[in-house]
Amino acid sequence: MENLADIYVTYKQGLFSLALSILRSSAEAEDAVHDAFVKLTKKKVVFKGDPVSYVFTTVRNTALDRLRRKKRIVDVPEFVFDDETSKEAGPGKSLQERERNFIIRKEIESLDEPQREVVMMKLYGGLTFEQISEVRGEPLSTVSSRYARTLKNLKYKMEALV
Amino acid sequence: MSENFEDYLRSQTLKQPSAGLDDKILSLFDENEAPEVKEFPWQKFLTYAVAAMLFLSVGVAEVIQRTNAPDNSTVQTAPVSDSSVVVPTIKVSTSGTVNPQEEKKLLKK
Repeated sequence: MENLADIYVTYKQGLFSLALSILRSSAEAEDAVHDAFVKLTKKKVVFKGDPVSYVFTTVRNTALDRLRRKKRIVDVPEFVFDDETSKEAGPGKSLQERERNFIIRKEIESLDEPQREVVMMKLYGGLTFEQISEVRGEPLSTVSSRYARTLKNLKYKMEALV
Repeated sequence: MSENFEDYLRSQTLKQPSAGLDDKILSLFDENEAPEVKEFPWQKFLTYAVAAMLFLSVGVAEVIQRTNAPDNSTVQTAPVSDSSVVVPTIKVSTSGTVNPQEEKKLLKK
């Protein structure tokens, strides 16, 4: 069985990105991940299903709880992706490439919640469709077809730009 | 759907959590693993065991002392009511008038 610490080290980026895509605040997302692990370590969980899915489910539920409890709306919502203009604006990247990246990131950020979550967990969390279906409590076919449809739409939008 | 597009999406850089989060979460595992590493506290156990034995021996000695001592306790009895004293009863008519014969009897007493 996988150790909780190993799961955290392997999936921390995916867990944080998932929480950030829900809460739109880095500080809140970090708190949600922390709270989830506090719960997991206190309970001394015995994993019945897939441990990775269980950890992702706990982080997702904690983030959704925080979102419900949050009284004030975040003034400036943060994005899941890093600011390209500050770090990646080196000579290696053309203006066109940067523009394309900016647009695709914006498209992903503006996806509706189920699509965004599936994309975040599959692409950036490294989860399988089975694991995502466990986290979201949806059938495997729903999750995989949603992912395929979302990527198809994103690709279509990108091709229209070129 | 081409895998190239998925790779392209994966190549987008994500915001990273701060190093503080790592410290906080990894310390949780240290805290929870600590009790398992601890050895049985023999010294503490022996101290408590000796204290418990002393307490028990004192208690047993007192019980033995009490059972062997003579019974000096006094027995109190409840006072017996005096049945020889007759308490006179006064009959009162419901009409509000007093029977003269009854009144005479009472006065004699």
